[in-house]
Amino acid sequence: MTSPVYARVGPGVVAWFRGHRILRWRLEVTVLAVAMVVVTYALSSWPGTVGPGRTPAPLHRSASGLVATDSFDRPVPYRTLEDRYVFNGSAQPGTGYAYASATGLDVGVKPHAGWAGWFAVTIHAASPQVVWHTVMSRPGRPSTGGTGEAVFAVQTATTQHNGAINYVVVASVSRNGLTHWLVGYAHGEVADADTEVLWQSPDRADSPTSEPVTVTTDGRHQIAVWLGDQEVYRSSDLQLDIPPPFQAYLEVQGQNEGYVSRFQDFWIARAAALQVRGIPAGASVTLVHGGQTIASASADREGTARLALPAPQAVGVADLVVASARSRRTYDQLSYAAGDVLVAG
Amino acid sequence: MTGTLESSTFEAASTFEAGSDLGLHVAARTVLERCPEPTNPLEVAVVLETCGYTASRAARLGAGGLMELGEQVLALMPLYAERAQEPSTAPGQPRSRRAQIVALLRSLGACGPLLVGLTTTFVAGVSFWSSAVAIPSIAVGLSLSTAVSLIVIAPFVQGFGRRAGFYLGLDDEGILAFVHRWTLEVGLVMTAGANIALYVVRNDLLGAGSPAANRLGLSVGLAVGALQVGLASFYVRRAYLAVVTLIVVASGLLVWRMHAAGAYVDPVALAAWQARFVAVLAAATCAASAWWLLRAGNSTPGPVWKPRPGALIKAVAPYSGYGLAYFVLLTSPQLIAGGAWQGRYEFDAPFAFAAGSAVVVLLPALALAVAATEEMFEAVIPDALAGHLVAELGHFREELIRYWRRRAITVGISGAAAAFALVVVVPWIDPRLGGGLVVHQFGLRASCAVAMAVMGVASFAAQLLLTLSQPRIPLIAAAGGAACFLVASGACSLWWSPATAAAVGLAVGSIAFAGLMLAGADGAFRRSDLTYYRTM
Repeated sequence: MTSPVYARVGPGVVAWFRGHRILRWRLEVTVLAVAMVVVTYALSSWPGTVGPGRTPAPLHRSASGLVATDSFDRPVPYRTLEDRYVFNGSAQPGTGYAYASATGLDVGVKPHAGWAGWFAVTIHAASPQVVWHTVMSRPGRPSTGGTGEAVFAVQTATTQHNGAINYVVVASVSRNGLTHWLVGYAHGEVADADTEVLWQSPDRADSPTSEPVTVTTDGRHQIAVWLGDQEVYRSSDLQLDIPPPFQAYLEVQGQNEGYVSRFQDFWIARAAALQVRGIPAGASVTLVHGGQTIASASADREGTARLALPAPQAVGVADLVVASARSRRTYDQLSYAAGDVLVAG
Repeated sequence: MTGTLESSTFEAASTFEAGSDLGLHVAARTVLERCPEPTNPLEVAVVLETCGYTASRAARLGAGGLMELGEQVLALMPLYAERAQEPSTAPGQPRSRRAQIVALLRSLGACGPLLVGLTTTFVAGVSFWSSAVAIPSIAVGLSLSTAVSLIVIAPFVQGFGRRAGFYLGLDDEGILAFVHRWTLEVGLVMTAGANIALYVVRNDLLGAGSPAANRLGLSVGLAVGALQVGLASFYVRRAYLAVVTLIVVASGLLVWRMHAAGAYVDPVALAAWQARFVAVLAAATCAASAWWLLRAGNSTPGPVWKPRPGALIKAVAPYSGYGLAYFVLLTSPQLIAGGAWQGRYEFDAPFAFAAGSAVVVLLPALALAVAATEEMFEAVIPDALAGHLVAELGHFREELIRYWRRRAITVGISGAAAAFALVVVVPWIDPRLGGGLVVHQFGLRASCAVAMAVMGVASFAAQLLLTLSQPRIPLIAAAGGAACFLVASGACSLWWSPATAAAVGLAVGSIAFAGLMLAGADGAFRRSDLTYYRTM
């Protein structure tokens, strides 16, 4: 005999729907709803772009000046790079490529006809009050059959809002077996930009294949560019019209041939002094690397020393020496960045 | 005359035997019409037999024979006893102008979330789970998980709507929490499972997508599923004003957030903010459902009827199937445009924008469907019932068919006008408003708009039949449309780009859905039964 479609249920089940069980159900729904918000919050947190730097005890870092960093000294899967960079360009899919190995981030274009470019652009943007840095390399042998460019650009991040692609550019341009380095800025809409060259090295067959490039700009009138420790260009009266904030472009351009740019030691740091607090008034603070002094300062009456770091050395690893009349202490192998606030224990 | 009456009863009963719980209630009301106060199963069985019920029909309703059917129907009588003593309301009167305005506002309120979402997309470039500012890895993760969530949760939302509406119709509010647990909450668990599976497959097995974007996608999938669960009770209770208020406040905050960001919007921060925002909104709607919307109105314990699981599943399955097929048709084109037939998925922004903005064409149909279903139950059917004898079944049917066709034509014209505006007028004014409102590919824009206009008519007809407890035709039509979409898009992808294949497939699927739906609905209204509706 089949059971009836409907069966009258007893008072226990009635209580389930109308008594304390329904209160429990309501609480369960509420708790689950709150848990869902917490889980969503945790899952939607994006990984930071700043790795933990070494802070020798009892020194304590109360604020970091490092905005972003990628040393590109170990292999990183492409899809993990996509958490920090967007890869795109004028090259056809399959022609542009990028991969990170122990020797750096290679951004390249395979052999093709005409101009084609590919780039890695930082997902996050930074304000004008920062220093931009990378070590940029071109292939060992200069281009002969076409033109190849390794490009480091600091570009407005407002393109999706206003179509502007204005940027500051540092490039190594290689053609006919000769290479030169240049500094410039460009104005453009959506895709095409006209570049104004501000500084250019002579064309040479033995031009450096690799240069540490450091850039600061306010996007309005000021640009300063260093190749290595040498400041190659500085101006404060340009009409740049680059709306902040900015993103870094690690880029390659190739004409009629395959070409690859390599990037290492990429970082962005605040353009500010490194502060050491909690030290005796008048104590001298020195940042030393390989026997060379990077910066030094004396502590004021509040016990704070402010070290003005040279832009190319705004991020690094060095020994911090704090010397007062009564003591001298060295903090070895400190990972530092301009804008850091360090507190001596 | 008796023959006409009984054959009509047979039609009604056979139509609803798929959902045998409802068939049982039809039998109960049929008995009540003949015998208002039956005293024993034998009396009920005799009445049923005189109405044409046989042993085989009783078996189809889950009873061992007519006597057992009589017992089951008699057991249902207390449910109707109280209502029978209530003063009967006057036959439905034509709606006043004020009532029509209220109905229009209510129907617009029902479309509130869609309407507000589209408005914020056009005005500020951001909606609850889409924005004009996106990077490819995030767009892929978000669109995939959103599609999975909408498809997986849809059958459960439809099932809940049907079941909750059924018990509300019986004034049995206490069981709503039980229904919520075994439809929506189970659905949410399934949605979470599907999203976790998607995450594991993409992140751990295929190594596709960036890890953070995959996690973000998972979070959005969970939040979107939970939001559907939270909103379902608002629709069942017709708390349109509350839902519109919630959505307007939430959208206002989103737009404010977008404007506060200035010229640069960090795509990562925006996507994370959207996910958290949807999660908070979902939590708020779920809590509101539990503490407010799904309350039991009367404190005195009433009879609680526990349906047999098999009968329950049989009754709800067509509604859930319709929800599944409908959302496959509505959501899958984005996946096909992304290259699903080629075994990959890349977010296709122009297609997503074309299909997303074309949803505006659906709005008139959805609003009119809400207004029409309310009008049908509150005015049209009561008027027709009051104005016709059983012997005038033909006139009753003619009135319903006239009403349905008139409304369907109105929906068609509204959809066509909206499609014309989207395809022709908006592109014309777009440059004067600063651009960004339209996709520039005319073919893509036009095919999506036409598809949505046609789907609007189909959705309208489906909604009417679902409300009239006739889910088989909408199920067959939506499943047919989804199948046609898959076949057409698959065939087109052999020669054309994925986006073109998706657009053509969407148009073909929508036309198939609408064709089947119109033919089916016309037939259903032609067979509509006065006796059945009189028992409702």
